[in-house]
Amino acid sequence: MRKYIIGMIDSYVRSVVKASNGQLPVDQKAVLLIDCWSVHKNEEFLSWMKEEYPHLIILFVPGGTTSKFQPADTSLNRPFKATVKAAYHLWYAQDVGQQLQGHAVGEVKVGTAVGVMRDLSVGWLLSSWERLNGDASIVKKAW
Amino acid sequence: MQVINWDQTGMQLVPAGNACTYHTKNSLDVSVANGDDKRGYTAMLASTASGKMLPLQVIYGGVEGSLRVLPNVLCRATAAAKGFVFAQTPIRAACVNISLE
Repeated sequence: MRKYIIGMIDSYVRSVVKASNGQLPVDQKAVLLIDCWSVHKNEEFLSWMKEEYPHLIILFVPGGTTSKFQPADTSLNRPFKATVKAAYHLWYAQDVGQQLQGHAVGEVKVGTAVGVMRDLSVGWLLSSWERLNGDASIVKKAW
Repeated sequence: MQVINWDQTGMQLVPAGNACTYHTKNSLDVSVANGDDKRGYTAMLASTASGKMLPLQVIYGGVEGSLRVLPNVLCRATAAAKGFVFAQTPIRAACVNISLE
């Protein structure tokens, strides 16, 4: 989690401050709205946050209400996963279609070994992410 | 002021979902090709109230130090061309993080 804060969250907040060309102070505050996951609620983590990033304010989505109040849950995870799934189905159909040219139906075999799927998933994740990132209205609506 | 939310969510390597198949009526235990595959990984989706998505972090499980867990060169090259970074992190088992630089 610390690595995520340092590499992802802090660097994002910094990039916003930098992009403001001095309009925002270096210690510009930001709100981190997160759920009550045990990793987030961990005492050690919270005191580390207070110590290292006093300008990042943590607010918890009340326990049991993430389906109503957590943007990721209300409307981001679902379209994200749906796009990944659609990409998977497209790949599967294309693979079958290709094999049907020259092979009998019974000989068609689609390989879904862990390594193969992991490699393929990277491309699917990328395009799903780009789709969400490219349409601010979807993301804004989630909030 | 930026407001950021992130959530860790489980993904399936084979996202077939409610797969359908053909079989003899009333037969028990029909296997659906790849449909019952539970192999998974996790993705961390983060967004801001201003409508931006933060870089994606994806964690694939695997044995620490094993190069096998890193997506192959071609996939990495495609992703890298879009500014994504691959790193192996020693959290419990090995993980792969995909993130934008």
